[in-house]
Amino acid sequence: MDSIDIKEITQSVSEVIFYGLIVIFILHAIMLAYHWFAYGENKKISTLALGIYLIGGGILFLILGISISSI
Amino acid sequence: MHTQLLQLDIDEEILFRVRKHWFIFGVEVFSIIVVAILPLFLYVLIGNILIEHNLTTIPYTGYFFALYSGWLIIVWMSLFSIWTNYYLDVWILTTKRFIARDQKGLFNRTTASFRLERLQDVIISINGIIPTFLNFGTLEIQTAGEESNFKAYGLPNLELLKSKILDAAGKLNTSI
Repeated sequence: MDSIDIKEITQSVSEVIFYGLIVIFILHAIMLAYHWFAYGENKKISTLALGIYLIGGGILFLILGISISSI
Repeated sequence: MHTQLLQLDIDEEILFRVRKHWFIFGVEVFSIIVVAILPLFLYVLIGNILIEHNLTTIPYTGYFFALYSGWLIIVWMSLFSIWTNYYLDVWILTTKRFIARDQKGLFNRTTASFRLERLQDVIISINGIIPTFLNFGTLEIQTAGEESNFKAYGLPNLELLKSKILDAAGKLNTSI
């Protein structure tokens, strides 16, 4: 019974951290994109950087989601 | 260009643009890579020690990878913050001014400039083995008046930059 409770608590905490990280990541992406497009000198570089940032972040969130679901 | 802060006069042209040397950025990226790999290294190392002493069979692999993925996301965000600082730090020489745009964080940004006719002296200094081999160092510009002197660290090709600044100032002074 105790082990089930601990597992449920761990899952809940993991999900809260997961969604919290998503919110932080999105806010960070918005701030970075604003700086790149407002103050950057080359729109292509800014767009490429944003693409790499979002794709890389997306892959890491996918790995995090799979890791949490496998706990 | 789609810069917000760089507003040139009608007859003003950009002559030279420089960022910090790639080595400065490289060192920060290397640090981030070390920080990213360190938990994995410690996990394997500590896991091996515990297995050797029959203390565990590493039952917490799922927990570790969940935590490690979260750690990598934070590292990923840090990496792009560092790149943003590098990318937005830029020094621009125009036919009339020298402009320094310094990004000190996401919410800390300064833009300084001085007109070339106020230029008094340009001092370059390269200190250390790595800066000597890779040709980067400190640029110091002394200007007339009460304005504070201008100093920039980690700029590459200082001799070339100095000659371009002096050339531009010379041309401006002869045209006045």
